[in-house]
Amino acid sequence: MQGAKNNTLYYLAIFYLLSSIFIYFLDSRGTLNFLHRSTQVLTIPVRSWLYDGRVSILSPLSAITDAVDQHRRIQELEYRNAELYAQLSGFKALEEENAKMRHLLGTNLPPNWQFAPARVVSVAGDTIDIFADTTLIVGTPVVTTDNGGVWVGKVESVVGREAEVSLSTHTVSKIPVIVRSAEDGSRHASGIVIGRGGYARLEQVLTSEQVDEGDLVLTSGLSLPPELLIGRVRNVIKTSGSPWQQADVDVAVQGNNLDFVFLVTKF
Amino acid sequence: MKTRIFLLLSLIFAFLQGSFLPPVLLEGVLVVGLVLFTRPQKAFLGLLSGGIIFDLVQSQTLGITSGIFLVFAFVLVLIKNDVSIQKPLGAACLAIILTIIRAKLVFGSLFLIPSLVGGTLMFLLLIFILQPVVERDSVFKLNGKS
Repeated sequence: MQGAKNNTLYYLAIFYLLSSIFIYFLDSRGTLNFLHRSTQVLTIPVRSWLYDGRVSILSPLSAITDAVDQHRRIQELEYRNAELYAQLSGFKALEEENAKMRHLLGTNLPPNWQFAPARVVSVAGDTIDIFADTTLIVGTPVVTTDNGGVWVGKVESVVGREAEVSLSTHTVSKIPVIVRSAEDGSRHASGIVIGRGGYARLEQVLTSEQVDEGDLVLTSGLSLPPELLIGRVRNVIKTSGSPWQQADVDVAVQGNNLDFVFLVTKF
Repeated sequence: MKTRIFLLLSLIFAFLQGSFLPPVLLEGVLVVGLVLFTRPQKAFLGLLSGGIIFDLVQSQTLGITSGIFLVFAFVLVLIKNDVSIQKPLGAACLAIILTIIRAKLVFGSLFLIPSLVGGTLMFLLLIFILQPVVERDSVFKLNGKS
C-alpha cells in the first residue's frame, strides 16, 4: 500500500516536472509570448509603481552616502587632474623637442655628427643655462637650427645635469671664423669673432681680404664644428695704416629666443 | 500551508521581488513551508502554478522556476523521513539552498544576503510555529485568577 502510494507520488512528480519542461520548451521558442504580453499589461504598471516607491524611500538615505562618496570622488578627480596636467606639460615639451629634432634632421649638417637635445632653462645676459639628460662636458659646442646649423655657444661650466653656455657675445668667447658671401657662398676672409659683452666683433681680418656688409660669418672648424652660422657682418671698420680690419657682427641667435638647443657631442 | 495561501503569497512576492525587494528572497520559505505542511500531491500542483506565477510576473521564461521548485520539492519529499527538515535549522538551510539555486539559474547571481535573510525568516517562523502551546491553567494563574 505504502509502495503504491510512493509510486503514485513519483509518477505525479515526474508528470508535473515534464509539464514544466514542456512549458519551458514552448516559451523558449516564443510560442507563449502572447501570455507574457497580456500579463505585462498589468504587471509592468504595478512593478513600476513599486519601484518608484522604493526609489523615493531609499533616495534620502542614499543621499547621505552619496555625498560622502562624491566628496571622495571629487578629491580623487582633482588629484588625477593635477597628475594629467603635469603629464600634459611634459608631453608638450617632448612635442617641441621632437619638432626641433625633426628640423635638425632636415638640415644640411654632416650626417656623422651626433647631437643631444637640451632645454634652455634660463637666460642671463650673455649666458644661457641648459638642462640635458646626457652627460655634460665643458667645452661642448651648442647649436640650434634654422635652415642649417646655427652657433649658439660653448659649455663653460657644468653642475649636475645643468650647464652654463656662453654665447658668442660673452667676453670669454673667441671663435675662429670664416666669412662667406651671402650671394654665392664664396669665401672672402677669415678672422676671429670676439665677444664684447652684449655684442660680438669680427677682428683680425686682413685688410687685403674683402668683407662686405651682409656677409655670413661661420665657424672655421678649428677645434669647433665647421660652417655653423654665427651671424652677419654689419658696419665694417677699417683703420688707416693698420693691416687689420674689423666689423660688428649681428649674431644670429639671441638668448631670449631659445627654448631647445643641441649639444654637438661628436663632429 | 494551504496551496491557495502559497499561490497568493507567490503572487504578492512575485510583484514585490525585483521592483521593491531583492529579486530572490522568500521562495525558499514558501516552498519549504508548502512541502512541510501540505500533502505532496497537492504541493506539486501548487509548486507548478507558483513557479509559473513567479516567471510570468518577473518576465522570465515560463517553466524554469516551476522546474526548480518541483525538483527541490521532490528531493525534500524523499529525504523528509531521513533528515529532520521539520527542525527550524534544517528547514532554514534548505530554504537558503533553494533561494541560491533559483538566484543563480534564473538571474545569474548568487544573491547571498537575500538568501540568508530568507533562511533566517524561515528559522524564526518555524521557531514561532513549533513552540509548545501554553496550558489554559497556567494562563489563569499568570493573570492572578484561580
